This record gives sequence, structure tokens and C-alpha cells, in this order.
Amino acid sequence: MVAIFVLTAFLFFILVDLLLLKVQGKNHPAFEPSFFQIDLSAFGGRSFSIPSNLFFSKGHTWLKKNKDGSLDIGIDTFGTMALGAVSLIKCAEVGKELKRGEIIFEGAFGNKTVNFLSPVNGIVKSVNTNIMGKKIYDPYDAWGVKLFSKDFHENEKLFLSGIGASNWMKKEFIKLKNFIGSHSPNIELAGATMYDGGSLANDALSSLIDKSANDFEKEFLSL
Amino acid sequence: MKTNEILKPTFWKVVSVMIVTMGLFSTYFRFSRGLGATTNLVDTAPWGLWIGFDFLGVGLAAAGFTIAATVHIFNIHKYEPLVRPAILTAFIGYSLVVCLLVVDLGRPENFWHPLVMWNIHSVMFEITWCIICYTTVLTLEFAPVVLEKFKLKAPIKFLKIISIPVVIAGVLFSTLHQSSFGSLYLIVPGRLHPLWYSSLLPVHFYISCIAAGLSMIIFESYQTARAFTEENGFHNTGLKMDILSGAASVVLIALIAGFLLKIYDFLNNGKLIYLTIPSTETYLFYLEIVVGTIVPIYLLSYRKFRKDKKWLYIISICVISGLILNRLNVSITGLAASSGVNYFPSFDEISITLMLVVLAIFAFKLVVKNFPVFVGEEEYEDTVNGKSANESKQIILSE
Amino acid sequence: MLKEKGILFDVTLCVGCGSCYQACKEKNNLPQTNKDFLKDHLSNNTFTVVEQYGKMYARKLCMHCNEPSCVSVCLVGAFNKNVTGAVLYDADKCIGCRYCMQACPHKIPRYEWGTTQPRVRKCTLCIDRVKAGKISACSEACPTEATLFGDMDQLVAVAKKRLKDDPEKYYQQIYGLEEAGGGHVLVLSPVPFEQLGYTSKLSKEPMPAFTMRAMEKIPPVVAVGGVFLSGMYWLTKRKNQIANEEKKTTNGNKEI
Repeated sequence: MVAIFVLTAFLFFILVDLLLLKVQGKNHPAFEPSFFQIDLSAFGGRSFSIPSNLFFSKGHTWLKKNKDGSLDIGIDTFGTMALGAVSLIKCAEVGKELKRGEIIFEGAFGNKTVNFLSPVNGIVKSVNTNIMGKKIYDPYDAWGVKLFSKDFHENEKLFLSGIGASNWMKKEFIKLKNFIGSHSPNIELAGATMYDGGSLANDALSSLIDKSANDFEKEFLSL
Repeated sequence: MKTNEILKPTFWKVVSVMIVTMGLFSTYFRFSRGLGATTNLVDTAPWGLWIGFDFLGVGLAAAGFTIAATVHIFNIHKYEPLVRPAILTAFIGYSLVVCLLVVDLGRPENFWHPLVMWNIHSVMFEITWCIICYTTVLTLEFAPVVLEKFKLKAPIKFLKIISIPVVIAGVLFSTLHQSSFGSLYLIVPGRLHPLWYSSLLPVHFYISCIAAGLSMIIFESYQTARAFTEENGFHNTGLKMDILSGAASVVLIALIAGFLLKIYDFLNNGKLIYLTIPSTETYLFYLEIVVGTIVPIYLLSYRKFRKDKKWLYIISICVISGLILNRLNVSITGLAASSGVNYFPSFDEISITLMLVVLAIFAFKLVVKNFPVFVGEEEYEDTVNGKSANESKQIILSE
Repeated sequence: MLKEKGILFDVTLCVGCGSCYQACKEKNNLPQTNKDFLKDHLSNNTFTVVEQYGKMYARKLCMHCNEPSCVSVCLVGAFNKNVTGAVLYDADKCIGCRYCMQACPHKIPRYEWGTTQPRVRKCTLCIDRVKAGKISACSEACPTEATLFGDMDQLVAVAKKRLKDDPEKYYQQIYGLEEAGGGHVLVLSPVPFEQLGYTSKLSKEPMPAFTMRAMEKIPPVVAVGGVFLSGMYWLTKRKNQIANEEKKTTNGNKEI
């Protein structure tokens, strides 16, 4: 009976903790919705919306024109999601004269870093220190760099917006699946989990990115 | 952390404070009134929940030596991120066991007697010494983490030189005392129920502690990922599924080995008949085998489940439950029939046990908060090699 | 030197008067624990009891084994086997782990649960009386000579003679002579011993032997384990080194 009692107590504490997390609206790491669950619901269009006033660079950064002529630049949904949860660890410094294609953000997932490239030429006016080192939950609220750009209008055709942007991003997600399929150390796993509704862990993705961070940059973050 | 943040009540904080308060009262009663007034122990059932829990604690802390051996002896460096958490778990587990033992001893003021009064024929003596030595080993293994924090390089260098002999000694001490917990019951063939009594009891204990210790580390990784998030300023606490899946394969091997040994034991000693006798013991034995061995073996043998984080979590809980059932079955259920009393722990026994578990979790948290227990692979390499890891750290740790 | 002493208890002679029970209490300064001694059980204040089984009475007390479990299991050596054959307990050494109580095949040792300085209590075979040249209090008090005290070799001879002379009267076994390796308390009975509440089915091997079989494997395990682990360390390290060197050389070749 003592054995049953101790076992019940052990399971009871685990269950209470799980319930507690549920009440708080959080997830236990074991039951966290995996990447592809987020992804699939994104395709349903419910939670997947792109603000229409933004421009998107093919390097997965977004740009927003401010009234004073400055540009806010941040990382888009794909950029924050493909990595599981990205956090910015470095930004271009204030006052720096950035050229298009130079590194504007360094994002970290785990201890691997990937570089996001600047979509425009310009001088960095300010850096959003509030979001540094934290997970980004709302990608379009979290601007990383404010800069002045002279040639934005000339290059505007390089950027996507509206329906064009959302179609492009869907394609990027599909491309990501293939990318994972071909780069996964365990192709069978990626295939199986993708088709049965998906439970590929973000961590599986992270270990994948650990190994092929360069390929990922080349494939998705180049302009 | 700021004071108001610490004082901010959360569900578990409130529960913990309640448990510890109750536990402190019970501890006071235990030492002021004696065992008879506070426990349900009797002459024919002299060992109860506390000793049973010691068995659990030691069994579940077994990852300390398995992981250390994997990384340092077998040089499989993939598992390095698990070394420090495993050693810390073992250290805290053993501290809990020692505290619980002192509470359980009839004359706790004499706890030092085994140091000077020796009876080398006693299994208990061997266990005591192994635990003392192994705790020393754990201290030496964990010391670099503490020294790193205070940037003391000379002692770290020294510890690095002796590290391999220390790890080997740790593995040997663990092997001895983990199995000796089984040997404790070899002397009671007439009292321990034949479903559990076996001359191979030490081997059973040894194999099951390997499986359960690793499952505990897997389980703990989830709890760590749950409690120490990046948002709270912790790093490298996320789940590392590829490592955990690798550990799960070892759990599978250990479980199968243990199961085969059990089958051999039952066939060889003609114990199959006991499986057909309906009794509490038989039902609990079935529960132990099904939950702790058969279900996990079935699930783990599929790669799909082994690699899936939800299933791996459930599997680890199963294996831990199996160990809980096994150890308590051996130490309590299996002896109930021959003792003639139906022992159930008293309130004080339960509350002291709970208090010590809560304190152990708290200690774990405290150490993790203040020392680099969870480190990335590269950092680990650097610190192990004695290089300054400051540069890479600054990038990762800066906020 | 004192010869090994022991007790021979003959169920056929016992009338259930309880003199031994009383004498034991008085000798050891133990308080009364039950008005009806037949219903009493062993406790920290009762070292011997007389149990009733129909018309028969059976005494229970420490069997003073030749190779006692309690002596073997006690980690601080609080139990020892005296030259007189008595198994004695030293409270000053005891740490209170109670392994002796768990390990005893006859379930004899009792604990002082009620105090904060508990001792393990049991029959001492009246060691102080024996040292003074007297016989145990219980056998001195016994009016029917159901309990005999004397040198072990003589007691065994007496028991064997009784079994031989009166095979009808006795169940042909001397309980305690070989059970759990034998001890210094022998029992004769007209019926099989399990009917009188004695622990039956005990192996003839002393209980500590079960543990020793595992304990004696410790030195080889340590030796083999130590060599194996050192060897594995050396091997795997060497393997990694070679792998690294190969990597370096191939890289070098590429660069050239």
C-alpha cells in the first residue's frame, strides 16, 4: 500500500503541475505545440496575418516607414519562427553607415547564431535595446533598428508587401520543410512526424540548425 | 532577483512553504518525542517510509555515475551537457538520503560511529562507507563548477589532473553501494516475499538503478526546461532532444537486461507459481513490471516514441514509477506478510519526507541559479580545457 | 575459560506456570506488561514469553545463534558473540538503524520506541549470572525442569537421548540445533515446530552466509571494474586521438 501511496503522490504532483500550467495558459515542455503545429495553423490563416503597411525583404527582415522619414527594421514571422524562438543578441551600432547586404542583426537560437542582412543602405539612428536577448513573441512590434535611408524609394520594388508578401512567406515555409527534410540527420523522423500531424520538436530543428546554420543563412537569409 | 519578486506568491511557493512548515514541526516532534510517538514503525516492521525513500533517492540519483562514466571514461562527449546536472542531482539526492537516514536513526547523535567502529561483515557498513566516499567523489566532481565561479584556476587544474581516477572511483563506489542496497535483503530469505527475494537481488538493484537514474535525468531535463526558462534569465536549459533520445536508448538496454534477468531468475528458481497466487504482493508485482518494465520497453523500442518529446516524458515517468514501486515493494510490501502488521506511514513520517524533497528541489534551484550548471557544449569544452570562456560567455549571457 | 552455555526447553515438560517469565522480568528489572503472561508478547520490556497452543506451551526467546544475523549486519558492531555463547548488545555503540531487527530470522530483537535514547532489547542468556557461576534466571525458576541450563555439549547429548529414548513422545527434531546455522537455545516438542509458532523452513546454513556470498564478490568486482574502466578510458581516448589526427592530416592534404 505504501508503494501505491508514494507512486500516487508522485503522479499527483506531476498532474497538479500540468493542470496549473494549463490554467496559466502555459505549456509544459513535453506538451509544447511543436513547430509544425504552429506552422499548419498558420496556413489556416487564422493567426497568420501580415500587417499591410510593412515591406518585407527576402532576407526575412521587415521595414516600416515612419512619418519622420526613418525606417524601422525587424525580423519577420518566418525569421522568428523558423528558428523556434529567436533572440537578438547583436544589432548594428548606432551611427554606423550600413550598406545593403551587411549584417544588421545577429540572432541566437540556443548557442548558434545566424546573421540577418540589412535590406537597405542607411545610417543607424537608434537600436531597440528592450528586445535584446529576449524571445520575440510579436515580430511586428519588436523593431530592432531605426535608420535613415536615402535610397529606400529607389529600391522599393525589391520588397514585398500585402498578398504578395503573405504568398511568398507561405512558400518560404514550404521550402523550410524541404530544407529540414534534406538536412535532417534523420530523414525518416522528419517525414514521419510531418505527415502524422506533426510533432517534430523545435529542438530537433535547433539541433538541425546547429549543424547547418550556414546552409540556412544561404538558403533563407540572403537577399 | 529582487525581493518582491521572490516574495510574489505562486502556487508552488505557497505549497512548498506549507510543506516545509509542517515538516519542521514534525522534525521537532520526531527529535523531542522519539520514534515511537511520531512514526508507525513497530518491532516487526522496523523499517518504513524513510528507509524506503532512501532506496528511491539513491536509485534515482544513479545518473551521477553513469553519465560521468559515459563522458569521461568512454569519451562520448555528446552527453557532456548532462554531466553537471547529473552530478548535482546525485549530490543533492545523496544529501537528502543522508538527512533522511539521520532522521530515521534511533540514536542520531551517534551517526559518526561507523567512521570509527567497523564491522566489515555488514552490508550496511559497506553501504555507509561507499556513500561517504561517493559523496566525496561527487564533491570533487562538482567543485570545478564552484571554483569556476570564483575564478580559482589552480585548484581546477589540480582537479583536472585527478579527474579520471576520481570518476573511476565514483563508478566503483556507486556500483558497490547501488547493488548492496539489494544485498541488504539477502539475509532475510524467510521474510522477504519470494517474488522479490533472489540471490541476484544486488544485480537487479544495479541494473534497475541505471535505467531509472537515466530516466530521472530525462525527467529532470523536462522539469528544468519548464522551471528555468530563458525569460527568467537561464541559458542552455532547453530540451536537448538528441541527447535525451540517446540516453533513452541506454534506458531501453538496461530495462531489457533487467527484464531478462528477472525471467531467468523466475525460471531458474521455480518462482513462476507465485505469479498465479492472487494477493496484494502479486498485484503490486504485476504493476511494477508492467509500468516500470514492459510498457517502457514497448514504447522505447519504437524510434518514433523514443524521439518524440511527449512520449519520452511519459516513458521517463513510467520508468521512475517502476523504480518507486520496486524499491518500496522490496522494502515494505514484500515484508508486510512476514511482519504480520500492515504498516502505513504516519503523518509525521510523510511530512518530514515531503519537506526534505521540497528542500532538495529548492537546493537544486539555488545552485542552478548561482552556478553554471547548464552550459553549452563549447563553453564546457573551454572551461574544461582551462581556457577563459569569458568571450563566448559574454555574447551568450549578455542581455 | 567458560564453556559455551545454552538452554534446552522441552515442550512436553512445560506446564505453563510462567515462572520463567516472572524470573526474567525480575532479573532484568523489567516492568509488568500484561496481567495474563500467556497473552503477552516479546517487547522491550519482555525478553521471553510463554505461548499457549492448546495444551502445549512454547517459550520464545533469543536463540543465541552460532553465527548471528544481528552480529553480522550491525555496521558498528554493537552486537557481539560472547565466549559463553550469548549474543550481547552494546547500546553505547548502537546508532539505531534497526537492521538487526530486520535481519533476525527469529524476529527477536525489540526496540524502545518510546524514548529518545532507544536501545535494542533482548535476552542476554543471563550473562552476568553465568559469569558469577550461576545458571540463568529462567531455568533456576522452572519448577519442572522444562527449561534446562548448562554446557552446550551436555544439553545436546541430553536432547538426543530424550529423542532416542522416547521416540513416540517427541517429534524427531531438535529445533535450534541446525536452524539458521544453529544456536544456543534448543527446543524439543511432540509436534512439528511450526505448530508452536517457531519459525520453520529456516535453512541449515547460517544466515550471514547469504550475505557473504555477495560480499565476497566485492574485491573481484572492484579489481576487474577498475581495470576495465581504466582500459576503456585509455582505449576510447586513443581512438579519439587517432580520429582527430586523421582528420587533421586529411584537412592538411586538402589545403595542399
